Amino acid sequence: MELPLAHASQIPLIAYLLVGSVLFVTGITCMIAKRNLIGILIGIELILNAGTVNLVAMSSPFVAGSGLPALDGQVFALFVILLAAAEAAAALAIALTYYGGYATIDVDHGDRLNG
Amino acid sequence: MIPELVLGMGAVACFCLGAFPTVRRASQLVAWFAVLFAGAVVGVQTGWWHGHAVSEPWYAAFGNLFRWMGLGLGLVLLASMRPGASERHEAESLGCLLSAILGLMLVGGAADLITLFLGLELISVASYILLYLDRDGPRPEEAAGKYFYLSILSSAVFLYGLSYLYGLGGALRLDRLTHAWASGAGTLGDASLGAMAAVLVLAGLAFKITAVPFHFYAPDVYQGTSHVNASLLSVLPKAAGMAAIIKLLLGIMVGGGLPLWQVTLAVAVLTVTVGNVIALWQTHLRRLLAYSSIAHAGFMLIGLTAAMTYRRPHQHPWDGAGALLFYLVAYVIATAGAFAALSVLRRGNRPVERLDDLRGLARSNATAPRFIAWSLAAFMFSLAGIPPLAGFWGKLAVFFSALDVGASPSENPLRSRLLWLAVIGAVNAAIGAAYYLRVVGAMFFTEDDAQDRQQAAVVATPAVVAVFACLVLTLAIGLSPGSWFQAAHSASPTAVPTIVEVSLDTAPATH
Repeated sequence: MELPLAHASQIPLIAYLLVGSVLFVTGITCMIAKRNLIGILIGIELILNAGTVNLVAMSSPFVAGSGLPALDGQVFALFVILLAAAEAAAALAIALTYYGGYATIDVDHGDRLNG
Repeated sequence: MIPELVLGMGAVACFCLGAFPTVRRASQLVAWFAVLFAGAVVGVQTGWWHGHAVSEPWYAAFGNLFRWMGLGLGLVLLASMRPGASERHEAESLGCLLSAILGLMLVGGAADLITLFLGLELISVASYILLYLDRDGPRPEEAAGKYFYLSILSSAVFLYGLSYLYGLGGALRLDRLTHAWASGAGTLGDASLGAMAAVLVLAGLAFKITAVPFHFYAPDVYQGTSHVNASLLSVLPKAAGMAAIIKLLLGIMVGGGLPLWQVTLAVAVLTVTVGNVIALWQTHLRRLLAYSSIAHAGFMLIGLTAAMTYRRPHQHPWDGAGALLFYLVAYVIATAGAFAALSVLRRGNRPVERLDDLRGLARSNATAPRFIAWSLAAFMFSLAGIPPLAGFWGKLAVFFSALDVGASPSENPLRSRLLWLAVIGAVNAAIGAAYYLRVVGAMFFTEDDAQDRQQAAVVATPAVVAVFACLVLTLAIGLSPGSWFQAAHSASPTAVPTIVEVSLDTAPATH
């Protein structure tokens, strides 16, 4: 596939993968450090997006060094975006009932099941 | 594909009916019809009354095995969902249940990574909503919160691993990945990234199958929710996770020269030991069954390790993947039956939750509690691995698959480790028998001494029929395991790890 965006291919694939890994580590750190349900949800979104960035970069015809002919990685990325939306909806509903039960969304209070 | 479509349409119909208060009762009918119709279609497609098709390739048999498992579990769970318990959300709960079964069937038949991932997520999202809708459990919001955040973390990690798997293999289709994984034909030339992909994928799936160190959520979540939800959580994600592990680790990654078997061996030893030992101290029935389900994941991983270390193409009687599948079937039937039996028992208007609540159940004057006590005892014996029940043959097959590698010619450097693995598994089976026998002892050998409590009674629901069906299956598999072993072997990926001749072109198109 010949595409006119030759200058876009100056950025190598490894740069995209580095962005993805930074997003992944940031998301994990965010999930561990935050004590707030919404904060943890933001961390999850970052980790999901790390996978999405990888998938898109690896199948993109514009990225130098990624010669995958098909765009199926990008199709996968679209599905992941849909999934993230569905999960955000479930997360907000759960945060609401959690607030109903504990009058807070701080996860440190959710220890009444003896673990 | 038709059964999956029927279930999907049934789920959508249930969600739509839930929006209209006047017709929402019809969702029961829709759900039963969808599952039964899908079952009939699978029956026609596989031609089960003709006997087993010999020429069937393993992935087709694999997909059909998980279709049957999903539909059977669907019937048991539908029967156990008490109408009236959560009447306001009945339609939504049934829709989620149908989606979760659909997820299991999709994972079983998946021919590419997208279907596999979405099938797993279909189970996860449906179970978040089921936990959220549940108002029966003692701490529903805490259970839903814990499960949601840990499950979604594992899914995200799994996805990140899949993205590297995709980059290394250069394709999303599993058959192409199998070819490309060993040769490194993908975008990423660096094979050291393969180890990262493998670890991330294994970590994400270890959560679904409750393997140590990703097991700790299970006891809390099961305790905080109802019997039916705990049943769903202990069978559907585990079966789907095992299917994905077989497809990804055993079908693809084993060929890459990574020492993956060391990881699964360590995880298997830790999982059986932690699950069985901690279960000894449990007095809450759902916590006990949660640790039991952790331990059974460990036993299945023993079969997986044996399959990964076996060096020749083989279809011998003790191949590890076939043992794993047989074990999975026995575990799923016994666990679903045990939870269904617990869900019909009541003391007054309280569900039976603690070990003490079962006291004297077998000495009850009425027939129904005695039947439940005997069924529960059969399920416990099957889980403990006592002959002649299904679980015994599962344990036997798993241990012999490890011993088979252990007894192979001495140039195989893994043989002593696999021998030790089998020994550790056998010791754990003995430890596990102790806590299952405590449940049986409470029902049969103690008097119901608490005068202030009400007698245990059985609520007559379709769940009693489901208990009976699970009991018949446990006995039938135990008494004639031969044909079931045959089915498990025909569904196991043979000729691992030189699996290159596999082509999924004629697989059931499930994407």
